[in-house]
Amino acid sequence: MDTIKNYLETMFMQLPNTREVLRAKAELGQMMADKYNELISEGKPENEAIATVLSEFGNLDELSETLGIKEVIHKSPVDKRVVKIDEARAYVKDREANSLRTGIGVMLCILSPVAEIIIGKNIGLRGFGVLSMFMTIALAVGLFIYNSVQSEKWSWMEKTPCAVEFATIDEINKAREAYRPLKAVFLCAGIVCCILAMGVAGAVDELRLFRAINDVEGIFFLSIIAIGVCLIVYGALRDTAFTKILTMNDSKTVGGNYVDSQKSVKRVTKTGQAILSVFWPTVTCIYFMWSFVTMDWFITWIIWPLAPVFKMLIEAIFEDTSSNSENM
Amino acid sequence: MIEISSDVIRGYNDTMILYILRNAPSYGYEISKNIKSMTEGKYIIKETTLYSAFTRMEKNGFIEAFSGEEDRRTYYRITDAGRKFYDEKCDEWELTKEVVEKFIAKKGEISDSTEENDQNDQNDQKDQNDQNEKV
Repeated sequence: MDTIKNYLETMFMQLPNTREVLRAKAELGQMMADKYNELISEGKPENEAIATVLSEFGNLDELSETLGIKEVIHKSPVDKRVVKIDEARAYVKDREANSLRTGIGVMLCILSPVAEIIIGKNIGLRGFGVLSMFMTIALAVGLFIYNSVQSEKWSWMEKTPCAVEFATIDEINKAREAYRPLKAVFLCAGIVCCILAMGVAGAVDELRLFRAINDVEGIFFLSIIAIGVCLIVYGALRDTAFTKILTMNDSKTVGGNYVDSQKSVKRVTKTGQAILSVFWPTVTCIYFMWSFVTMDWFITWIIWPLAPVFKMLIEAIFEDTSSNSENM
Repeated sequence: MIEISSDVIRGYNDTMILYILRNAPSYGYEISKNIKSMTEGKYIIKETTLYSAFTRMEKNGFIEAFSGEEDRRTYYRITDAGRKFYDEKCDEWELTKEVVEKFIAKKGEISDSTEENDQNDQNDQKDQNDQNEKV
């Protein structure tokens, strides 16, 4: 039955999302389901039933006049590259690893003064303290650069208009739904960490715990913040992979409305792409410039959980709308 | 096997659908099933053909769509205009049949098929002879 549904959805994918088209799809789907069920109840094997239903479906050309879709049917499908299901899976997996690396990179940035505190202030190797701090930063920047090189593999998704089939949308949407509670956990835990950090650091200071360690409240504060921000960044970024796939189809077509979470086509212009490719290194720069100038390490971390918001803002500002109007 | 030419039958899909709806309102699959069984499987109407006939006849006021009470299917019923149209199509077919019929050679007149039959008879006889020899 899934094969039949996929077949029908794919046939209708590029058609405009009008009431007539949706009614036709629903009724044709009902007829196909009725036929399939009867063939199965007659004892036909599933393969044979599917083959019969598909071979007796007919041709959308016959509906072109009644549905007013003549131009759409005869338009060459060349202008859209269909993202295969394997590609979508690989993309989501890649983005997941990418998000994790970004999260860890952010964590390292926030932790870098902690390295200095431990090695420099506590162990007493002042030179090594500064060195270890910059090594931590270098490691984070390395992760960010590795990420942007890695994601070049997927830059064709921005350059060419893409489309996804129903089966792909269905699978990715299920994966997204499965991830949703996990995302909530990541974000909540992250926010709780950020709020708790202040309290824990204050308590350590107040109760005079670990007095032997220099600047112990700073270590506690920044470490808890680092974990929290890592969770927030990872949780938020990982979700964008699903959104990317789910919003590929034009929302004015049937293909753009398979599931509720599909909204609109989102592709970024060349300028936007250029800005985004250096986004995380830039945020790192701003963070450390601000931190070193003011030395307010206890507040400058706020840049990190805000970064994904800025990223989405940039994507919205540099949204490529040219391909949408072509489809009208 | 000879198949029905879709060009020829196209003009009469409406007639078949209206014939079925004259008895009782019905829905897509049931109508296509009826057409199949009434023609002993010689004509299977495609889903898209059926649906475009529905929308066309609905627009012309020959049939009306309504949703079923127990299921979510769309049912169709025939209108008075539809009955009138059906009668006209029947008359039209009678005339068409009468005209085309005049140009259809009768089975017996086709020389090819008779020769074939003769040959088959000979073959049968030969087979029988062979069998006799074996015995």
